[in-house]
Amino acid sequence: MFLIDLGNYGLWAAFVLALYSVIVSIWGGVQKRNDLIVAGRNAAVGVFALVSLASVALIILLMNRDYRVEYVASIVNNTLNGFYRFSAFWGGQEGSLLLWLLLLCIFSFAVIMQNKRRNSEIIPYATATLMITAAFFLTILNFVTPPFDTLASPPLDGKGLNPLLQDWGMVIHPPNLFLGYVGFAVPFAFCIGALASGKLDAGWIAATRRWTLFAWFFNGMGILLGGAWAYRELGWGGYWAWDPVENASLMPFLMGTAFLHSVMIQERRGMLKVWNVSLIIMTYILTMFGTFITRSGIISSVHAFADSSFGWVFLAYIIVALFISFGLVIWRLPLLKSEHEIESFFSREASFLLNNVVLVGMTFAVFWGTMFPVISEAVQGIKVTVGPPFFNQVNVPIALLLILLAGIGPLLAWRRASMLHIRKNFVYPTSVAVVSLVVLFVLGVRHVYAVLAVSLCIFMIATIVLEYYRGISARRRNQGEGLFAAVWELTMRNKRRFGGYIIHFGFAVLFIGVAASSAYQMVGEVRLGVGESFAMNKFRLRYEGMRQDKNENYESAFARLGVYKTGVRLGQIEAEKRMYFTPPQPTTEAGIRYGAGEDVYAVFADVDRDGSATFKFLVNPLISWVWLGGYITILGTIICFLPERWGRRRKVQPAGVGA
Amino acid sequence: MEETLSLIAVAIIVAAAIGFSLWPLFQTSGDSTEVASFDSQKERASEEIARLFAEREQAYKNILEIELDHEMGKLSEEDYADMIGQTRADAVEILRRLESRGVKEGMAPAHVSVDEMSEAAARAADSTHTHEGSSVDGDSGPLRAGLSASANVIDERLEEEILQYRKVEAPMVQADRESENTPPKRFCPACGAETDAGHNFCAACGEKLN
Repeated sequence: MFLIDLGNYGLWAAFVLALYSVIVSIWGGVQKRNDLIVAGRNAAVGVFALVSLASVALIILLMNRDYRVEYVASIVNNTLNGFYRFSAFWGGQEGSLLLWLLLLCIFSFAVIMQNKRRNSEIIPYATATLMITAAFFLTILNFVTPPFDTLASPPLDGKGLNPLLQDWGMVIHPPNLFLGYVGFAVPFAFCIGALASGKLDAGWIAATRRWTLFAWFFNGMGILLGGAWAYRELGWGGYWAWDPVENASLMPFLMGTAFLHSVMIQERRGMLKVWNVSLIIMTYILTMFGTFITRSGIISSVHAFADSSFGWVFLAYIIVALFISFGLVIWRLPLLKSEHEIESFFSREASFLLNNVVLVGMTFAVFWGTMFPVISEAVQGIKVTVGPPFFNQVNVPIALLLILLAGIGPLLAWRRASMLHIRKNFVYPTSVAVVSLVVLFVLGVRHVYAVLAVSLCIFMIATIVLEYYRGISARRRNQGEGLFAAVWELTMRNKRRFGGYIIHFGFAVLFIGVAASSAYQMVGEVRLGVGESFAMNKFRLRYEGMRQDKNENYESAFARLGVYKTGVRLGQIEAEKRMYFTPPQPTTEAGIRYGAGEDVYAVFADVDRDGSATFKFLVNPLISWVWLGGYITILGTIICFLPERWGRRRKVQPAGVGA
Repeated sequence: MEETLSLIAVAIIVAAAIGFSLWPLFQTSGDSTEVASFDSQKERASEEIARLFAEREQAYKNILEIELDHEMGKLSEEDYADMIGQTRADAVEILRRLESRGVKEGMAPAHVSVDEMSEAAARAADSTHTHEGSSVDGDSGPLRAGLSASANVIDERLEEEILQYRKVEAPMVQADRESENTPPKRFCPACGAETDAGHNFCAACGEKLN
């Protein structure tokens, strides 16, 4: 009973405290009164403590299978193991909202601790902004879908976790995405704080640079893990389907990417201030919009939650947030004047700005495609579905332009690059790209987009290699360093620049994987008797028999398949079909033979009385490059994250600290 | 019985959180509000210095970036000379503003992290409070301190270059300043506001001036 009370009343008190924190923080900020500011800060810490306790209470209830609680009874059952009982915390509607809130409170607490003596003018408003968001989630958790509601007569067994969610990818994908979504609330809060207090220099950007990178990284990783899960678990052989909820996670990522780039210009040159505040406001709004789409059920999606009747609460919040945020921007327009102007079209600023416009355009295209069914239904009364063809048609050319710009940007200097040097710098990467274009064509790759995408990615990689080469030569020439020392020092002394290049490199690899696997996927459906085989291009799959297995949670049938490439046996894969007991639901676990060149992918669809089975086979070229690109991106992000001084040779002794 | 106990336990936890949030409001009654405002004033001065430190960091980074772009063959000689000159002038200007805020030798330690930087700024602001109005001594002293403050961010070579640049530039700017407004500008050591020569107290924050 204690845990349930703690959850219920704790969330109630947290709601009151969050509102109190909003009021006294803003009041303190306006009046510049320390006592009020400290009170607002303490209240936010109090919210953090209460929400943490409520979350721990829910986790304990889930672990103990306490079916008195409706949420627990609806999401775990007697046979679910501890790992999945823990992950059931975010497996359902109420719990995932609580996780969102918990992360928000943890971040707010971290922000408060980081800034006890810093940014004192911005912080009261930033605290208020974070607590408004918290109060919004607490409204839902207290009034709409309380996670600690109890059942009059507790059942003996729960309903169990959706079998599709019983996969490690699904265990880490939602928290990852949430870390990203919620993380963007921090730079947004600082932006609102800067607007409200009028401290609109680059201070708020510098203070939240790492937070932005953090949010961006986890948003991206969440998307990638979601893709990896879909590939393994859903059995249609792909990783991205332009599903509304996938789009909802992509939109803040695109917007956040634009923000991440354009803040660099403001930090260096004091430009694009209106643009930057608008970008982070839109990123935050899009994270809320993503949640709205998932929870409202206005768009049918594989991700939609069953019971979700409170979409309008989100919509109302989004509209109010939009009005207040942009109201502040308009009010502060005089302070948001640019300190410089773009001097030349051939400058890194200009190329960044262009890349920004392209990213925002892409976001809009995704938004339009996602919302079109709703708009069409509202206007014409006809429900239209917008499928992958639309998204591919629109986004592939935009993405190609983006890759091109990502290749060009690094070659240009800040402010202005001279034409002579542009020509000199572009000779090698362009030649490499043209050669690769010809080679691809000769090899028989005729898919226009695939050829273009791969050549442009190679162009991008070539520019990065050239940058490294030039930087290394300069260091070796001027500092007399060896090759490895030069690589290390160059990266460590310019972490943002070269970390960024590594991230770009990761994306180039990822895009090559995307281009190849979407243009050259081979699919075949076939019925095979034991011992029979099916050939696809160089590959041959031989059905070698079936075995069955059973545990307390599900029973499964495995089809054993031998994989041959040009006659050589590579090994055996098992395509699995599972039948869960509670809830009774079949799932597919694809049998995958991973390879650097191609993945061989088998889905076990059906089995007949005579022992013959129906399969769907796919050969996915270069799909592993998608994941490899992701890993490279992780490495680059870590470099960007490292402290400024880390990893440098100490050359100079720091000055003594006196007085 | 169990239910009552549970409710009492929850009530204690909730009361603790609420108490913690209300506490600061009861802390400041009577004369202590003044202390709070005094503190926040000092804090503002230290933040101003922290901001200048951050600007200086950025200026140095810009210089290094231009040099890197130049070394890597992205800038023509004229563009390089133009940009590096302008950026160095920016850096010098920031250093001068730091001087006028009373940042003295040894006050600003090496920039290790933003945390330490803001602490250094706080210390700088603190000491300008305790030794009120201690005038800026010498020309290259504080400048050198400011430069060595970011010893780990920039190369020695670069520091020397900026110092050289400063020495050439300084008399000219000094002359400019004198011709523009006599008597020369003074700044409040606490809040950094410009003050009139005849004033004994800062008009912006009330700090005693000498």
